[in-house]
Amino acid sequence: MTVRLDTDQEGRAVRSRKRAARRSAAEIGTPAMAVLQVAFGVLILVVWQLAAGRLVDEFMVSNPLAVISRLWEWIASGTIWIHVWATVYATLVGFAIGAAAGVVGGVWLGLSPFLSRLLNPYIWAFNALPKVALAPLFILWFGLDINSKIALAAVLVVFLVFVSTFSGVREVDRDLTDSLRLMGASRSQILFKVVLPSATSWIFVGLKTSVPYALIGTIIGEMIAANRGLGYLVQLAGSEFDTAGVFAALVVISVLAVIFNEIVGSVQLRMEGWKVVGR
Amino acid sequence: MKSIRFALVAVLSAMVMCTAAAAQEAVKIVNIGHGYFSGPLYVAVREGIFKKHGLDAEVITVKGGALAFQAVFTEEADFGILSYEHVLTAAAQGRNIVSIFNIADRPLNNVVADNELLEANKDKSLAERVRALKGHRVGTPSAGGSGEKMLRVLAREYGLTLPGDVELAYLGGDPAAYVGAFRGDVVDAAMPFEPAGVLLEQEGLGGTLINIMSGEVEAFRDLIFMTVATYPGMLEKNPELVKKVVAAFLEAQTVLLDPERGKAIMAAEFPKLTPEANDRAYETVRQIWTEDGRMTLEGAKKVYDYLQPEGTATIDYEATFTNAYLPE
Repeated sequence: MTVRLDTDQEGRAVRSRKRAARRSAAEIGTPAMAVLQVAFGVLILVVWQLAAGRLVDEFMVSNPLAVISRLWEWIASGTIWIHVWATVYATLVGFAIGAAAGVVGGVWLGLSPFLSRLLNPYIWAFNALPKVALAPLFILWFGLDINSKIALAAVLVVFLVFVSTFSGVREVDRDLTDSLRLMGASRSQILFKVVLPSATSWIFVGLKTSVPYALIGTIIGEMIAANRGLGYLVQLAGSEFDTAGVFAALVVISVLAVIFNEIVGSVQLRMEGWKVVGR
Repeated sequence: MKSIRFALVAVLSAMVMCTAAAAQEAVKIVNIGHGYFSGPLYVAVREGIFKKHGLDAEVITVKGGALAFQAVFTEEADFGILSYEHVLTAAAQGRNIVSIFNIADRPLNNVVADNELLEANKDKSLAERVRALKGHRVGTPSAGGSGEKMLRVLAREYGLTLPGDVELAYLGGDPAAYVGAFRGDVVDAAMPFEPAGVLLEQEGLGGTLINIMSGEVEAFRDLIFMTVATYPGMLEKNPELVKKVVAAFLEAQTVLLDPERGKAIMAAEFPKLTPEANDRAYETVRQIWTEDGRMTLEGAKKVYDYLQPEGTATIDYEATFTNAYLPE
């Protein structure tokens, strides 16, 4: 009896210590987390550098120093900025068009049960299509210039934003809208004072999710037909057997994705300042 | 007085700009990827040959010959570097574009093999080397593409069945895919676009088993192969522009074929190739670049013979190419 009690107490003490450790890891401050994130990134780079040429053929994976050297070469010569700007411009315009269309479509169908039922199978059927397979068609329709890249980015964004906006509008508290209607509110008042503010979180989920897709659409368009842009750089580097160049372009693409994501997050914080997050 | 001076400056500036614009005619050219075979295009850009012929050339890279064809056919691009195979395939479907300059008169591929296959078939005849592919896996760029079709011609000629005796693997157009495939023993042989074969050799993974690019196979010699093409409307509405483009390519081709200049220009265009790799690539691809860009009916028909394009339209070969813009 005494032995079992001791074992139980020991077990409880161990579990208690583990719970305390998990809580303190979860509560780690932002500066400390940033340091850990950087350290983790450096660890990956070190492993990559050591593995290249030893465990994996360097032709296949290059190495971090070669990638950094290529990046620096592009930055020093200034050539990278033309390509960055081409990609950023197409991504932003495509994102704006896709987001606007997605929000408008999501709100419109969310407020119209008849239309949403009518169009539902067609929307989901089109959503299931691998849209990047549309890239050659878009080149045909919109040409070799930036328009086809913008169109591809927009079409990848519109469905993601539409789906989340639609869901957000459908989730609005019916009691709230009914109450306002009883008080004589017009449709536009209900839309702008209840529906849209309520759906904001959902809309931003869609926007944040779709940011990388806007970039993907642009990059794919540039890989297929372009003479500038980060996707074009990836293709060019690949065709010149320049693995370091491929990775360097991918690094720039990743950095852009992070920046775009942060921008959307900041806009969301400003627009949802009125919301009570937790009590 | 001030306003008169401003007006004068504005008018003079406009005249200068118009003159400059008139001197340089804008032209959009599509290129398939950044292939080594498009040597004259890179020479024309780097050596200012387009400018010399009054052309302000914008080069757009597209992924794949089908897209290049599409860009020219839809008049999105003025000219394109594309395979005569695409011209014939389109003609068989009743869609016409016209080749105006023959960049290469042989295919862009050799049959390369791993070291084991190479060693076992050293100094053997062409027939024996083709038959040596029996029971092996061969990589080609794409399903139903010209690489596969050429392999079928060789197989048929020397008693092999395809598929059956030879298993095919589709590896795309990028050389890195072939390096990976050979390293991983995914294939024993391949028909990549050169200079992928040069790269394989440099990596010690294999070498050329059948040298199609040197003219070893009669069926693949003296073809219309890689051409500069345009849409028929361009020939009607702006023959002077066509003449300028052809003249630029002809001059660029001449420079390219000069080993002293051509090799250096290609080295600058492909800076990531080692000097040795560039030398080998240049020597390999130089075999297929034409001297004068001329095309022949025999060359057109030879392409048809191995390609056998699908389509119901009767092909008017004379409508698919023209030497009219080449100097006499």
